[in-house]
Amino acid sequence: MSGLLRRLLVGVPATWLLLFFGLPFAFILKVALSQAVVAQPPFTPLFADGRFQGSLANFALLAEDDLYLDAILASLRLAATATVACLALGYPMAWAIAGTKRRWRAPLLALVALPFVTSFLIRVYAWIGLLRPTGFLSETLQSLGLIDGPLALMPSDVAVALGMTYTYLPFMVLPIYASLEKIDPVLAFAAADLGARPGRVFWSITLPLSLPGVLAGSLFVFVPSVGEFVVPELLGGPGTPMIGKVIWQEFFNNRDWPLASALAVVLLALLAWPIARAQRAETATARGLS
Amino acid sequence: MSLRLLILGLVFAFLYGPILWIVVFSFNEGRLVTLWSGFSTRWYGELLRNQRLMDAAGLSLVIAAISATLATILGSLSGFALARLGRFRGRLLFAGALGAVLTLPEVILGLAQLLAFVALDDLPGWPGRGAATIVAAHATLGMAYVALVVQARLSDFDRSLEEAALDLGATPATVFLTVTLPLILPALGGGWLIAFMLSLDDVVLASFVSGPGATTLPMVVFSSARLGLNPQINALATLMVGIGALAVLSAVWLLGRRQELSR
Amino acid sequence: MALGALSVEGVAKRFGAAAVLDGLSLRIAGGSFTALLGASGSGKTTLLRLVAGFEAPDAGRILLDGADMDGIPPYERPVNLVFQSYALFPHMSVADNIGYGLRREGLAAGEVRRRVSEMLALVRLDGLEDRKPRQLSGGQAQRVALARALAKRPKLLLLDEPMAALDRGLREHTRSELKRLHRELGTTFVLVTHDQEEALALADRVALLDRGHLAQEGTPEDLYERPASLAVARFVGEINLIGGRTSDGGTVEIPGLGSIRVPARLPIGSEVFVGIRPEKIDIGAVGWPATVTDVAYHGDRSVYRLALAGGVEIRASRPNRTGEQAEVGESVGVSWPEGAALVFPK
Repeated sequence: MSGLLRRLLVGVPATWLLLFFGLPFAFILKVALSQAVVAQPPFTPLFADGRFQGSLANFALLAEDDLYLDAILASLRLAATATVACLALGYPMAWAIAGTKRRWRAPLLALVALPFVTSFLIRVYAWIGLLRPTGFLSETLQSLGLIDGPLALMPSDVAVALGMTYTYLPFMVLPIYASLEKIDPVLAFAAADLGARPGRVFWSITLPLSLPGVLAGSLFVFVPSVGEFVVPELLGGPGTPMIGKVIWQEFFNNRDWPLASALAVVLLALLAWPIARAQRAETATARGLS
Repeated sequence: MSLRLLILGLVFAFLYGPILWIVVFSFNEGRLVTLWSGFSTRWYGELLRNQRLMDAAGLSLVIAAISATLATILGSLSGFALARLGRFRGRLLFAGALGAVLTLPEVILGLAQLLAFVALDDLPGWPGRGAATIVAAHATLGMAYVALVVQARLSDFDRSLEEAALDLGATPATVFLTVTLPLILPALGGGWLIAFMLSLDDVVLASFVSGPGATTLPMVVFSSARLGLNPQINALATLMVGIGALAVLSAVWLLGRRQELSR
Repeated sequence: MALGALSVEGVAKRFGAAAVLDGLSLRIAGGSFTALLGASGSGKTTLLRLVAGFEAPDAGRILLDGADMDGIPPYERPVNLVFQSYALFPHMSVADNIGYGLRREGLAAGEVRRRVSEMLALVRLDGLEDRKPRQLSGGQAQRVALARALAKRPKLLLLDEPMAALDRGLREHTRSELKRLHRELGTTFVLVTHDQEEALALADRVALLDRGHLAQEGTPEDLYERPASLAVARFVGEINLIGGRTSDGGTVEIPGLGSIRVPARLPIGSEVFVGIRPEKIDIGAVGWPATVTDVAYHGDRSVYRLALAGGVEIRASRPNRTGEQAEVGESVGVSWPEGAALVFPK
């Protein structure tokens, strides 16, 4: 390939990424070191009067106030809950699909992915309708006489975990399916031939070979869940201060851009390893499914 | 086999139950979205007369179409670079940035992009915050998805097809136009659809980078969902679910055709 | 002289640290059917890619009818290739595949159509022009690939392991088809293969490559009956090798067996291998005494493992004409015609 073409091929998208991805992160770091002021834009410059004015005051504040630590812990806890729930639903689902006849697998996978592509926002909205005290579940159970009085399923942590499980379930099913599908069915026959019962075949052959898919799926659910904003905002109450929601509130409600940036930096540091690990899994999954 | 069927049934019920609720109650006569009071299409009518929603929908469609097209161009170039250039300087950083776009929480990405756009506000000729900055943000998100799809497609592309074309007298440009492009076109189409749906669905990035006057459909839906249930949203959701399903089915059809082709 | 003469002069090619071709020289006569034979890693595929123009040599020249191919891209070379995987364009019909190269030459649509149906008739696939590659059987796909390459009327046709993807039953038929096409067209055919049986059966010249060097070039009989080296003798066909030492001009002294008369002359006292093809060995009443240690029945022939004096073991292959076989444990006499024995320096 000629030199000019090579340079265009990399140069155009790389410039775009630098401008709309790399540069923004430099700004997040910069703003995280400055202070909030009532001005346009609402933060102090890093250099003024020929001196460096930046400080780690925002990070010190984050460390002092329990609100932020609680938010981080709540985010990790709820994301882990959603991940485990997705695994509990997603693994059997992937296993069930991989065990159907070949011609059924693509349509079934498409059915798993279908709700994922129908608006995320609307799927969360649906759960408001189902879960709120005057919602479908509560009203139906009351009219059937199973409960007295409205059932307050939301706002609550459970509702948030349920909402994230629901929205990210396809992310779990697809990579697990991809790794299950790669397993040569002859291996199961060989294990059975050597005396393993079906349960043992699963534990000693199928499960270990599908672990890469389990890891990939868990990362794909966990990483976006930790930083989730829409679900806790709509299904959670004031008692569910997930970190994504706190960043949003600091930014939009308190107009404290520096503090929001500092929180974003903390979240980024927290997720650096899972994100890096998830990237390797992405390419593998994309290849497995194509 | 019956265990598998049971699992499939339960999980699909979980996945589709809430969507079914939306669709059913979009045709409910009453204002309450919890009690059935008779079939009606009045909420669709009210939806169409809701100027604020219709304007937002129009803007969202335009933003989605432009950003998906940009994302497809940028993502294809990236996918080609990653699949075909072997090792180049900064490859790790380039691939890392694309992967990070896919996995980063949207709140971080939105905040970071907004801060950059605010800084660029002083630049002469900069369009300022609004539809243009939303397009830029969505194109960045979409290009990472397209790059992933294109790279995966190219990595299982049989290179001897291109060599055969060269051998038969086609110049490299002709090889690209007559062999490579037709064979990856379904992947590009699928990538465009994904980018389009992402843009049409995003509320977080748009809320951060938008300026006054540019309100997208998800932003309107989000603010009304915060206030509670609204049968108009059910009607809108039903329409979007229908369009989304159609998009996925055509994407699956395109990808299936691609697989048949490369067999 | 016929067109399509290929001359490879001192060609070297390395990938990283590995020298795949190491100063290889080879002449292929115009109009010949030449097999490039070699194990994997011998450099035969690299040579093919150099001739087709997908790679450039690090040193040396490749000449086609005297014209240096250096710097000429694959799409301008009068050379066409049948790929091992066939590489049929999956999104085009059979007719569009075959016409692809002709359209690149800018031929008018009518002329392309005429040439395509001519090629379809040549490979006996009339009526399949509208099929897509995935609707073809392996044998049909291979013939489309052949037709597509031949449609360009190349001076030289390269075939990369063309039988590799075919069933055993189809190979026999395909071989005779290839021979017929070669006869009818008179184009130079260069077949790349690792299958010595295929090379011997198809080609009128065989070039054996061994680790980037030309080991021997000649007729199939040359390679089998008169191998130039131990490596050639081992690669082409089966051979028994017995270690010994030359005594006077025409004999080799073998410990335990005594002296054997051999045709070649080597300096007295040098360590050598005596090689005898299994089918040249007679089993009967006369000759060196031996014991049958194993018999493998192959239907048309049986292969005997024979233990001679001095710990020498050889394999002999005899046609099963009468149904009588020597049995394990039987004592027999082993002999071979003078001149059947080959001698190689150790």
